[in-house]
Amino acid sequence: MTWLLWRQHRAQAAIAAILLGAFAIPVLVTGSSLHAAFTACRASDRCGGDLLNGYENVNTLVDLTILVPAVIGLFWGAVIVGRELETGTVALVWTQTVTKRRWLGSKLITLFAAALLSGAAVSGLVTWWSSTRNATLESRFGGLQFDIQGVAPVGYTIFAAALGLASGVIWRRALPAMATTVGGYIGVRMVVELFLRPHYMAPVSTLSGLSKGFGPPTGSLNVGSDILLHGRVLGGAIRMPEQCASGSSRPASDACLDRLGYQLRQTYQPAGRYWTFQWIEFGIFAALAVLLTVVAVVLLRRRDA
Amino acid sequence: MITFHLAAHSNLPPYVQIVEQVRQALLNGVLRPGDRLPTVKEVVGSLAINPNTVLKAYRDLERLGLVEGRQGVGTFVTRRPDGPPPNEQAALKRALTAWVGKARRAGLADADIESMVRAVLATSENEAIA
Amino acid sequence: MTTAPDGVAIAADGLGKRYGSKWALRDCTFAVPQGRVCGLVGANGAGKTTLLRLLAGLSRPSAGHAAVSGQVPRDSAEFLGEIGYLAQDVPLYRRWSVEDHLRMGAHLNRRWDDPAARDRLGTLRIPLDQRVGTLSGGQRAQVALALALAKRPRVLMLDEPVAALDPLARRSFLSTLAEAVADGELTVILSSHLVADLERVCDHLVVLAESRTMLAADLDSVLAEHRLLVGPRRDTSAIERDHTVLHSERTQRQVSLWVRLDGPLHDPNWQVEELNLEEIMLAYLGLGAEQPAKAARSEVSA
Repeated sequence: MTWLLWRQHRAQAAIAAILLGAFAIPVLVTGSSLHAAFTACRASDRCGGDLLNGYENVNTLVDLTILVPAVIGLFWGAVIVGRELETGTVALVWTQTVTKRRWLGSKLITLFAAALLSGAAVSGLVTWWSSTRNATLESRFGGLQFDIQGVAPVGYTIFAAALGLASGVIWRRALPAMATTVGGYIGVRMVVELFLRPHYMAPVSTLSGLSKGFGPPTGSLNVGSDILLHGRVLGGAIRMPEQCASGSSRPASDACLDRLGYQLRQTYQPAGRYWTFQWIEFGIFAALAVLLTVVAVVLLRRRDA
Repeated sequence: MITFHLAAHSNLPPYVQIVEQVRQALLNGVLRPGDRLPTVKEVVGSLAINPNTVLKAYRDLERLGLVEGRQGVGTFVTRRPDGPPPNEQAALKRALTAWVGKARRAGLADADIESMVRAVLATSENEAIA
Repeated sequence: MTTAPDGVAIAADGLGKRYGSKWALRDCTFAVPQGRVCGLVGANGAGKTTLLRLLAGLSRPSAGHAAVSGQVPRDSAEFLGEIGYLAQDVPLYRRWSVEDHLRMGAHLNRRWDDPAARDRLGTLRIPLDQRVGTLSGGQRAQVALALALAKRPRVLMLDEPVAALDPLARRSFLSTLAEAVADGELTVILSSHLVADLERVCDHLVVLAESRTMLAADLDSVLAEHRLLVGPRRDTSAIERDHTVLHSERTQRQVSLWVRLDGPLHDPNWQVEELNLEEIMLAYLGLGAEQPAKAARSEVSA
């Protein structure tokens, strides 16, 4: 089987190696200079977002790694078994003496080992590179950054691979399998990110006067904010009351609003929970991956060639 | 070495055709006692027929006493079937060719010639019985 | 090495396969002795491909049993080592070379006769380093056959292997196949609707119509037992009782019956004519719509 897997997928392996190399080089080079600059600025306590000036291209490249899991799901997951079902070569390879069971087992190991390694390599590089950015510019707990750093992207990668695998087995044709893989991946990720992630643990809420300003503490995940009047949440369009708006300065109008009983309630997940959330999200996608793989295996064993 | 062929629309089963071709070859002198017949594999490779067909033909020939199979070596011709010697066969064939030429010039079609031959064979057989 | 009981290489007993509510194959019963070349005949959709896939273990039966080389078809190295299978569309890895396929075979099989395969392909002048996708249909079929034979199967199953080939390629393929059978220890079952090819290469026959077995017997017996009876129009119930009538045609004055004689013909008033294989096949395949007078029986001649 080793020879067969290598012969079948050596082109994909080569492309992956080249792409990974092409990614790693700029990341490693710029990353080391960023780290050096960061160490320097920390000594004089003058680190600001401008540290990343001049690194916009690599920054974009790093951000683009959000696509990596979907690409792997498409080009590895949907193909590794699906293509053989589509072309009918399963009738050739399943009548050799290797047995369908060993064939499938080897293919699964190859797929998930490759997905794990690629996902880990990419996210490892991204996480290392982003430490400067996390400290100076954005929270790593928010949106895109959460998705490309840490262990969550590894979970996404094996999920996408499993989704591609299952799609290939169900549809047995490249186009529908790819469509289902991409559509399913985007759909599930959006649902998890928008609706589930903010609530993995009960969020923390703090009340403050409006003068304190909007926005959760640095490094935390913003869940939402509400404006309250005398303890009641104000919904819909909120208008500045006239008496506080009349031409006065900002601090004065804030004080005016405080006097009237307006409050800001900020709901967020504290920065300290970052890794817990990373592992929870990894766990969710890993569990989905296992489920999809089981479905794929059962379908393949039950259905005829 | 003899090569076999199968007539496309013959009523004779293939193994009978093979037996006949061996007999004819022996009568004509193309095959002689001591010659080796092609192996089953060789015949089957050139004709794309079932090996059992060839085996059946060779067994028939063995029963007729014309060939002998030697394990691991091949099937060899042992004797010539009863019939006129090759030069007499050739002479008969020449006479027939001349007669056919005459018949055609007289206006007989090939089908008529065949019918005539069959009729004569039938009557001469009856006379032989009678 | 497993030896089949009673020298039966392929046996089916009430074999059936259902997809949803539709039976693709039903009540399939026959036995093919070792060393035979069995032709599997039937119209498209009669269940030939389904039957072959069941025998190769690529599909599991909904009813009945099958035994190939003495074993139940299943996903095990012990069974897969005994069989060779060639699917209808001749699946090969189009971007691979012939050499790649030989290496694959060597890696994935326990028994692998590499020299014989290379020898065979060399005689056919098929270049080993050429991509399979660029070979002709006939050459691809020969490559697939060489691969199947190189794993030294006891039973070889071929699904319409020559249907898409030109006459020369067909003849070449069947020659290679016949030579492999002559080497010994190989039983073949191949599906086809080219009767001329079947007559040359097969010595056993299984006929499927409407997904059921209509006939399973030695080719010689088939030719010996089927006759066309022609006579003046009259009552045919005696014939229908004593023999199996496959097909009948009646005009005002004459009746013609295509029959399988299940015993001697006692009535001397019939004109009896032999039938060639094609005519027999047509009689059976036309049967799909009608039911035979008696159930099909299968024979195994020693």
